[in-house]
Amino acid sequence: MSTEGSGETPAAVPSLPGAPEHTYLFPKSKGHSRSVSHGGVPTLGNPASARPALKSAMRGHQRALSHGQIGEGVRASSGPGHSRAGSRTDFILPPGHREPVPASALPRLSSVRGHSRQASRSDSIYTLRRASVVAPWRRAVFWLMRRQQPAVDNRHLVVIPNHLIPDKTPPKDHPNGQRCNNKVRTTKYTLLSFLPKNLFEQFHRIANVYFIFIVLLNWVPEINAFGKEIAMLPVLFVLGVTAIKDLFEDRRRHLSDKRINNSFCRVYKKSVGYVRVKWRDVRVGDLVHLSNNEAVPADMVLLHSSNPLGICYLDTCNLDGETNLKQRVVVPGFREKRLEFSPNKFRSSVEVERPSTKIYRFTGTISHPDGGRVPLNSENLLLRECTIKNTDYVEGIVVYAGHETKAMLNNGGPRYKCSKLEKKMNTDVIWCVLVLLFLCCAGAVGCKVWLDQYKHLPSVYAPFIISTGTPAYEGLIIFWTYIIVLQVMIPVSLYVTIEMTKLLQVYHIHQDIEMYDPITNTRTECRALNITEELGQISYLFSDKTGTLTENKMVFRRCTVSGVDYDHPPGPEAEPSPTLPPIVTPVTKVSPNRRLLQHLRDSNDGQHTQKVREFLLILALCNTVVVSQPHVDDMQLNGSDHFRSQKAARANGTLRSNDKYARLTESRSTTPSPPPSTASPLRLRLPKLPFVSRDDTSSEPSTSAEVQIARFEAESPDELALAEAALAYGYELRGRSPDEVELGIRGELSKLKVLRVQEFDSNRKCMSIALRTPNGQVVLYVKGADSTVLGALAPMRSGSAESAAYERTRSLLSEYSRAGLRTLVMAKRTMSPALWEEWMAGHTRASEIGEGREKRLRDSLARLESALTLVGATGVEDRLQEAVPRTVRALLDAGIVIWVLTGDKPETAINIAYSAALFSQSDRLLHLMSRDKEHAESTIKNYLEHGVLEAGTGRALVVDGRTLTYILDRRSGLVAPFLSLAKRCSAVLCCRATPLQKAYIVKAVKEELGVTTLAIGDGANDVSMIQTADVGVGLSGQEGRQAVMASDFALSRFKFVERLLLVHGHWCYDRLARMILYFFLKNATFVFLVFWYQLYCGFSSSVMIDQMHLMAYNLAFTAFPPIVIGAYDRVAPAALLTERPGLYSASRRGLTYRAHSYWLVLAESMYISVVIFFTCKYAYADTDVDIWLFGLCNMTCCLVIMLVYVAIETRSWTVIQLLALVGSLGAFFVLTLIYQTMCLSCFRLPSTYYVMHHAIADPIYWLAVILTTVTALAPRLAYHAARNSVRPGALGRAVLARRRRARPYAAHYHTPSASAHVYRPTDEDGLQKPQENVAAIT
Amino acid sequence: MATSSDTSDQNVKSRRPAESAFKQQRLPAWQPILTAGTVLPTFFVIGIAFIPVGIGLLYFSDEVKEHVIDYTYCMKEDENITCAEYIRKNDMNPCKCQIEFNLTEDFKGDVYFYYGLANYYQNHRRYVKSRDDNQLLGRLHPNPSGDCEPFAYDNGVPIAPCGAIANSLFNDTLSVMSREMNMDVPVLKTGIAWTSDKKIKFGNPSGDLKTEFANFTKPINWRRHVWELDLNDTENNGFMNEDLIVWMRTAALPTFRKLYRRVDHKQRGFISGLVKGPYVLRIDYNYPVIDFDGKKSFVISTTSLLGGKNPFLGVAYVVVGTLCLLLGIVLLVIHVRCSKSTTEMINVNPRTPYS
Repeated sequence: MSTEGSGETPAAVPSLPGAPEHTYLFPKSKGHSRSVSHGGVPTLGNPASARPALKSAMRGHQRALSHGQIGEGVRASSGPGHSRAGSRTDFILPPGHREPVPASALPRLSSVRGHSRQASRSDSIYTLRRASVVAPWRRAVFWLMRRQQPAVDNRHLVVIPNHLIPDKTPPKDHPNGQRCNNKVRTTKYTLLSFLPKNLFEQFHRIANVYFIFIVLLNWVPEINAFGKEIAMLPVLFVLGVTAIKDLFEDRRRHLSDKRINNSFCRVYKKSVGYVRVKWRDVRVGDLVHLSNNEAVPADMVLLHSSNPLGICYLDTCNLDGETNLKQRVVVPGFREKRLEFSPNKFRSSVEVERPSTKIYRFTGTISHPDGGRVPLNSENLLLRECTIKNTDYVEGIVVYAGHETKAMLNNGGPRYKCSKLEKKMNTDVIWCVLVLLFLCCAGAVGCKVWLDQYKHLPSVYAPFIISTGTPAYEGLIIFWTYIIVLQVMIPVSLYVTIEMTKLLQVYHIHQDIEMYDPITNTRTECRALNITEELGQISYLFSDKTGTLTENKMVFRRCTVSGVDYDHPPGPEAEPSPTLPPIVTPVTKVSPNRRLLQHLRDSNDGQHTQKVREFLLILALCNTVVVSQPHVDDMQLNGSDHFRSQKAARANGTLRSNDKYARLTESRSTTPSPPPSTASPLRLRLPKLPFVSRDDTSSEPSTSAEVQIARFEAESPDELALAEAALAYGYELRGRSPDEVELGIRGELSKLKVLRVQEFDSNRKCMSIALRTPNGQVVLYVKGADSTVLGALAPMRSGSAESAAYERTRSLLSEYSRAGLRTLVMAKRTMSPALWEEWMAGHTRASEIGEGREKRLRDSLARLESALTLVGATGVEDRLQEAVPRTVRALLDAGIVIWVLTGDKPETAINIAYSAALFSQSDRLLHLMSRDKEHAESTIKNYLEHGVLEAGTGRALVVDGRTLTYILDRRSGLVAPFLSLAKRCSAVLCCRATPLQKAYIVKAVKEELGVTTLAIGDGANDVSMIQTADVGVGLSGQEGRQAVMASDFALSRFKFVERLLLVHGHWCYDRLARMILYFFLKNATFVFLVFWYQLYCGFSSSVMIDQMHLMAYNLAFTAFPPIVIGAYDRVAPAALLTERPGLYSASRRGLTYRAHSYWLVLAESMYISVVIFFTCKYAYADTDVDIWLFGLCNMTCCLVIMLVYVAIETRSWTVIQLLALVGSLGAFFVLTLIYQTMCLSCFRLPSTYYVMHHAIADPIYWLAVILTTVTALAPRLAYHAARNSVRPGALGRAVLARRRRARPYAAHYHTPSASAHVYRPTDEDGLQKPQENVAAIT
Repeated sequence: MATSSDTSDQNVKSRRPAESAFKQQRLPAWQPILTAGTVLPTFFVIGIAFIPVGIGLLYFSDEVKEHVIDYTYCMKEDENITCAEYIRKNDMNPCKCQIEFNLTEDFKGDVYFYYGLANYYQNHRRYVKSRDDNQLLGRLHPNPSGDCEPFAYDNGVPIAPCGAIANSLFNDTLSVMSREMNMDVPVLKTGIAWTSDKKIKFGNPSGDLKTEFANFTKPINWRRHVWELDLNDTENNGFMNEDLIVWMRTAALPTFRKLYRRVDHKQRGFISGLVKGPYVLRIDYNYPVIDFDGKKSFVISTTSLLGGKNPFLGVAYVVVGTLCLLLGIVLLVIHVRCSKSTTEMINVNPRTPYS
């Protein structure tokens, strides 16, 4: 699966120069010094630092490890420990980016993605990696480590088969003893480490540290302001809740670990044969036997397969989510030994590279005892957690186990990001700290001044001063006491509340039925739990095109052969032409073009018929489509050897047998990949071929089955569409093995000898297949992007028919593009066998491990895919997804700038942009397509100076990949002008953008413009973009789940973005912002209340409020209303928010929580506290009120005001709000009554026995509560009312207008009484829910 | 983590979310819009309700008769020195003084005597803490609570009741003599503390108080032992002495009153209250306050539904009520003037851009 693939080279490669020969015997040095061969000096580069980086990652459970998308360099930059925030969002430009772009490299850089999205195969191009920048401290670490193990080469590991080693070898001397075992632990804690480790992690939160500090402070006898024990309550509560949450999460992981560690597989033991062994006991070097449908326990090199061709199929669904089967090949050299392969004869050692996260990359060498060396690549590697499919059994040697497997290294955890709102909140928390410090200082100074007035009197006797020191000393002590007393200012429970609120928000997003896709049966999935409010603040949306805006279900539409255009207009699914006798009855969406059918059989021009046939052959052949077949396996899991006798009879891996899914019930240990419900692959009715001849027909079950279902599995929908098109014309791909393709051509079966397949990669943007024709010639069929293939055509004589066809094809290609089709060009090359052999030899040399291997391979392939002859071209339609134009329009109306980043050609992309309503006809298109930097610069300047000044019309920008290269080059300084141009456009289209460019653009916009960005995509090539953006949305589309894995939110359709942003985002932001402000308000009010009291108690830090109330105020009495605001209040009905996307701007611009909001809240809290305190003070003046009754009055006023405040702020009253408010108030009275009745002297707190009983019998108490409530909240109420009437915000106007629309008569009444009654029993959402629903809920 | 059984059920089970109103956040909702029109009735209602309440409160407050006598600087009998100066100079020697006063109105109903202290910080943190509730329950322990320090021990002997509050017990003796009847106004010493305090929060050790307290000493400032507080009434002696209980309930503010005595209305001549006329306040002046600029006063007060005389709440209700009415009127103006523009909003096109 890689560009460097040389896996089929049957010959053993000679040992690398300088590398010591090594055998399966115990090597003396652990690492065997290959570094010698590379200059002898260990480099400080990436490979060297990989090890420590890896170690740190393992140790600290760094969750940032992604699916091979982030290079070691990035990880290395994040320190060891628990950086769960992780480097996922770290974004470091590769050094290569800073280099000036050489002209010769330009075509490559402005890479076109071309047809196939299988680019995900080679992860390197999507990996944001820092190659060789090593932090100084890391150098130091490395230096230290080098000192410890001076001669160790970090590059390769050697695996010796375990059965060659005496049983009693202690692990120290065991050659594989240093490697990790296969027991995995994904839990963060063990039983012992839970408490310390969890606490340690929690103390990374600064708020928790602060509160522990306060608790400790409280134990200082001089200071202790509160009951020591009771003061710990809030902290313990917060820590406890978090710990319990962590414990449950960890327990789930533990159970899953346990299940996995205890599953069984068969491992070869000397003299016993294969025995059942638990997964956790599998060691590196073990030979493992796996049956069909069994999961792979560790990364192993495939040594033997039951398949006669030495291949096996792998379902990697568990690893990367891709449901198509991957093919794996037995190590070259072993295929020939298939029949005699037996574990006890296996004496070779395997040399592999260090473990890495790159799933699709693996290199190694196998050394035979006879000195032969065979290179290994990822085609030989079976990955842990994958499942063997369509193969009876396989055997392999474990090379990476446990945490060194690629699956484990890629096991990323949940994502933690910090939203903008939270950042703002954190700064305000810092302000809280400063305010607190100010209050404490004021109190301390006040204390000193107050004490001073008693000091100057001679022979003072003041019974209430129990002096212990000088006033200054007292002041100092009192400062610390104040920090304890006024601690409520720092909202410790805010963080817990936010977490719980977000969980509820996420829960409801997850539950939203309107974002449920019945077709794929998927809900919206929130993978990041803590950035829901960020959804409400999106200003820039970056979208992939294919698969995101479009279905990524390709439909074959046009093709041209030798310049003759054949149209396949959309129509009813047609029966295949009766004129052709098809082998199969294809169920295909393509209705054949009659002219093409005609030309296929016979045309006036025999040469053209030949071309047409060849063209269809290429469509059917030149792809990586796998025909997936059902499979039979009767292997027993008990590990006995008896199957060996049967294996010859059952070696029919490529044959079609029973329905794969009918077999499910019988499979024991594993589960198959899901049936093709989502991918909707081609279903073929496959009657048995009459001419099929097999040596083992007896075991061919298909004889009994009249009709069977096989399916095409392709890595890209384009390939599927082409194979399907070929099928429509009777070119049926029936099966594929590494060196043979079985093809049904117009009713006849033929087998074609395949020499080699060069798979697609997004650098070459083409793939090719080399065949040996019956006459011995070698034919190379190439399929690829026009930019690549047309450039590699052999020179043509001008005026020739060939050149005319070329010209016609070119013009047709641009016509296809304009029609929004994805184009591919097919070409061929005929070679003499000698030439082929020569190239092959060169290529094998190039694929040897060593410096510059990638480049050598690239060059070698370029040599092969040259001097081509044009055959034809295709145009494949990718239909827009449902409701895309509406969604795009809504998002644009919401003020979100949409950038579409696509690898398609500009013509195609612009066409799609129009049809997706991204561009409107009135928009002025600004094109940025430059061939050099100066031109790009001048164009941007020109547009900036002239183009964008004119007002009135909309503007849209189109940039192509090459121009992007100049712009994104840091040294060009074009980023800022480009962005200021882009800022003035409502939509931007980037064509021919590479995955890395996508990420750079997102990064540039995010950082330069300081806006919140959202990236949405579906493929592996969008992963880096998704990770870079503030919010990454993955579409679980046709291309596997890599994008989903990297995303924060996973949707199934693009249209759900509208609801996710406009409704949920708006809600979540508004809710959370108001909740946070409310939190600040209630805490600040409380603190000010206590502070005013200090003016009347000699700044002695005396608190009039019962200490139980002090604690419970935050934890109980005002705990639920904020959550209810945060999770359930609706600023406007969902229908209104979707109906008027413009309302989103309120949340997008963050109008609820602004920079000054905190200070307004502080001012309001000060007002409220003044009202409360002084009302109580004067109401109780000249009475015999005691401190606790007075405090209770304050407390009650404060609580009632805070609850009524919520009531005023609530925009949408439901049962939940009512319950929370009434419940909180009721709980306050009931709990206080109970506590003050039961507790004569609890927790050594000052006794507040029966205070409440006296208070509620006292009319002053009630009068004060009512008076303060009205006085404190009347201004807010009046302000709200006045603003909504005089100058309502957009939202207010919309809600009002909606209300009036619903009740047209109401508009005609202007008397206060008519509009006084705002209550309407029906649901304002317009959803008209009947009332009984309430009952159903409650 | 993926052995494969995770994926197996997905196809069978529909993952369609339940369509409950709660999960879909579609619970029936009332969405009030706070506009001038909707809110102004609230203000009118509040205003209309508050003003009469305030007037009623003022009336009640006015009904209460109150006579306050500041006796901080009363002159020692027969000498030309204030008692305050006298006790300061003579190391707390008893000082008697008396103040003539005249009640100009009849004090009808229940009449209460209070003593008031000003600039006395009974709410100081250290002071408030300086007590041992356990001890006050009658559970004597040779080691009083550490909170009592430095009033826990006197020369190594534990103090009962310990702590600064008890130590600073108000110990002036106040009595009122009616000139007309030429007799002291009869008073009750009990019923002045909270019943909950008296019955539950404070208690004496069972048995003879003197023997029970034998191992304890009196607070430093006290002249008598705790079992000598009221030798006539065992129910009012020791920790259960109501003067002590009242004092131990620390005041909220630095200027405060504490209930001192109830006039015994069963006695002839005082059945309907205190009649107007000349009275003499007789003081055993023991309690020093001038050191810290404190003030002492004696208060005779009747009571109403709302307790003592305090016009604040009445005034506040009237003022707030008026303000609410004013706000209501302002909102009314806004409503009348802006309702036209709000009706225009009906015609707003849904696609009309919003800011």
